[in-house]
Amino acid sequence: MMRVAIITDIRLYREGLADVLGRHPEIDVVGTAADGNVALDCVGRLRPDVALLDMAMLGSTVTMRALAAVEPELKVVALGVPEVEPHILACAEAGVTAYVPREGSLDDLVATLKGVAVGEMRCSPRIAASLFRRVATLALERHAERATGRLTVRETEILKLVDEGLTNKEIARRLYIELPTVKNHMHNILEKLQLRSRREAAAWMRRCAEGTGSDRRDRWRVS
Amino acid sequence: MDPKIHCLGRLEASRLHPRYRRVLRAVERIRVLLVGLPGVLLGIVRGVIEDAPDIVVVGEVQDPRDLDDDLARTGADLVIWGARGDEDVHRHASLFDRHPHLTVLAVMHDGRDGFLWQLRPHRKVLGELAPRQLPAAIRRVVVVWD
Repeated sequence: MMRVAIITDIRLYREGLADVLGRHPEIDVVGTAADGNVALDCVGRLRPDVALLDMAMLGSTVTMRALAAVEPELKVVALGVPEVEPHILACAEAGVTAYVPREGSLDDLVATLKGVAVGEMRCSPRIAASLFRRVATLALERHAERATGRLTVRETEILKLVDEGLTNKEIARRLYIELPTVKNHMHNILEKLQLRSRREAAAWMRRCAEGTGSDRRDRWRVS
Repeated sequence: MDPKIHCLGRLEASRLHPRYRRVLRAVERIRVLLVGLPGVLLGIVRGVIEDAPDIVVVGEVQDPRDLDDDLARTGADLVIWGARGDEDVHRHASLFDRHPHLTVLAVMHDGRDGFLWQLRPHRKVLGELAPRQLPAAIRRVVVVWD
């Protein structure tokens, strides 16, 4: 029997879901909460397997993060999430295990709860693709973080100019340094990033900028 | 319940003497049509109504544009309407001209508030809705017309 806590400040949902889910033979609604503080107390005391959290509730995101921090074992299912990428990604990043859009049916909700109990998540192929993209971006970001951490300021500067399409000679002229110095820096860059050519380095640089947004691009900008 | 009364169709019932009509109404279940309710809310409302022996869901429709046909087909006493805002019901205000006795219990999509629309059309704020009070609210608003 799956132990479920329902967290929403909307009475119709709180009492209604407790009623209809409670009729399900595999679900035991152990408690309900109308705000974040009561939710934390309820979860700490009653130890549910799953917390069903209504995203329309005031402070739902804070509650979500608090639940994930205080009860890492607890599975949180977000209810009423608009099925658009930013919302779903925000939920995933905040520690949500699964979600059900407001338009989802009661059967969808029950299926999601059952799925969560066995470590599965139901989602549309579009959302699955978004999640994959996000994972790839995060991996790239992490790789970039590590790699750029290893580059010196001058190497970063030179890589930026390579990305702009400048030759070694032009870079030397632009930075008022000798050509062999530029070559030496290029050699070090390729070695640190484990790349084979300046073209690969430029492509890597672009991927980093694209994958990590404007902040990252600004960081790369050489004044 | 007298099975002879129970088996009378609604059209036949309308030809009855008002006194008998009132008797018939007393033994009939309240007919509720669910319109445009989002999934989970639909499940909740349906679940609550199924528990009330004197109320029956006669239909579920998502698109209120065909409501004339649905009302005629189901003979609903009450419509529970899932609305994103007041304007959803306003947009179909002419329904109240065509169906003067139409009662609409509008439930906001987020389930936070409810409104009652009736009397071509008069709107009354119901405020926060509680599932256990929903059947009682339905009985109250439908009885108004008897």
